[in-house]
Amino acid sequence: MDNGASSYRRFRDNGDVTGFDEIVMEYSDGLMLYLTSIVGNIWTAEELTEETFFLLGTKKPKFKEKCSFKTWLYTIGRNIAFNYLKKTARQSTVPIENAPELISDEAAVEDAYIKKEQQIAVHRAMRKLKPEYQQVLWLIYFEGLSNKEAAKVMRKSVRSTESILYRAKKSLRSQFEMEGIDYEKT
Amino acid sequence: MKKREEMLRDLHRRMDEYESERRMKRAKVTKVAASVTPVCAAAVVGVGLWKGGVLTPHNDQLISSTVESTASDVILSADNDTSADKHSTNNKTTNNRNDESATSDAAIPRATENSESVIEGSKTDNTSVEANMPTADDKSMPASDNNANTNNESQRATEAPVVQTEAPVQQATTANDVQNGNSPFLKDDEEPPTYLNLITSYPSGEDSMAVPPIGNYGFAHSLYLAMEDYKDTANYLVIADVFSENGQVFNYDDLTAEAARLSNNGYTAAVETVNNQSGSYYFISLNVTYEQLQSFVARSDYAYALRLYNN
Repeated sequence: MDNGASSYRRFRDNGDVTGFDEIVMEYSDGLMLYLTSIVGNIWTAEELTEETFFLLGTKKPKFKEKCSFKTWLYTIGRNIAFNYLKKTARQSTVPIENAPELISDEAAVEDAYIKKEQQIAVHRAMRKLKPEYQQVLWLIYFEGLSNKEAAKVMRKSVRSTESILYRAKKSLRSQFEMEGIDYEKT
Repeated sequence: MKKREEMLRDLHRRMDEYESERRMKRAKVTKVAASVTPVCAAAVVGVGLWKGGVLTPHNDQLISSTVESTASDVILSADNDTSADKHSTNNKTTNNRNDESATSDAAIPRATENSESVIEGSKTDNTSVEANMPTADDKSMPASDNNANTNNESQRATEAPVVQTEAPVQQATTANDVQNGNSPFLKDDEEPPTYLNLITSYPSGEDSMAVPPIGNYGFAHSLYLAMEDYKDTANYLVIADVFSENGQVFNYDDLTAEAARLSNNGYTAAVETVNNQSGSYYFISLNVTYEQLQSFVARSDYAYALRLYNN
């Protein structure tokens, strides 16, 4: 599968539902964690992820291959998330009775998606940063997108993205120091 | 928190619902469009035909001729009432006068086609102008002063002429007619019929006239003016007052014989009846062209005072 593009083409052009299923299996967790960094809530992020795939499955927008399929998909997800935030006042707070469940759900997704123990610790430290820092760190260090691709997803210029990334890394370092996590200075 | 399989299942269910909903919407739109489109198309075609004049080929001609008449300061059939009033003022109880355009037109062709029908017609219905038959064989009016008579007529003159457009007789068209080429619609190589206005009155201050010498004829002033004005672009509905050596001829038989003679000479002539308290009297009415008036075929022992029907 070439980054999901061929699966999507099979689904869109030939009506092959397995192509759609492959995309959902491949990208749902990563998209969900990315959207969590935007909406700050794994459940809402799950709904928005489903919404993103629903749009893909019904409207079948054309993928013009100007970027990678993941970048394109994440851009759609981001737009849906921001539309959602526009419609509803952002509620990063979660009812207290749901909080433990929420954390455990997010942890489950983390465990499933992020294999390395060290990366999981970094991701948890990231959650305390500003959403913008979370997004750029997630896209670049966890999803492996280039600065240019991350800038495209975030709808910012490359220069602005690099600036955000610099400040995000600085903020993360201070977070590590606060939590007593060892890290290598780069 | 859903598992990925659950999310997939939910997604497929929602996508199926979305597809079925879209199909229903499309079917509904198709159904509505299928029922509305023929109606709209029929309406468009109907309006197109109507505006194109296909449905009213003859009426166009009538309308244009009517408009022309109006443009030349002519008042249309509204004057029918006036003419009725005129006759009642003079104690000439002419019934059905309001229908005079119809009755005159109906009576005149009958005399033309078969002049004998005027003579042989029923004598029972003396209340109608259309049934222009006498109630008695000889109920002629006593000879009166012609000048006085014409003076009365001049007082009755209207300010505006009455113009009636001769409409063609509309006949029901059957499918056979169309097949046989008898359709009322014009064929490609057919010239449209010419419609002439029928002048029945013309404004003139004084309409009196002297009785012309025996063997001659004369026009009343209003008729003269109308002829000057319209010439051969119109037909004229006139009354011919007939005079012999003994005065005006009111005798029914004499007048019918004269009407028959005029008919034989190509005139559209009829004898009409006027009833009043003192009895009935008769006169000849003519539907004539300009040329027929100009070269009126007078009998050598009669004189004719020709005047417009409604003046």
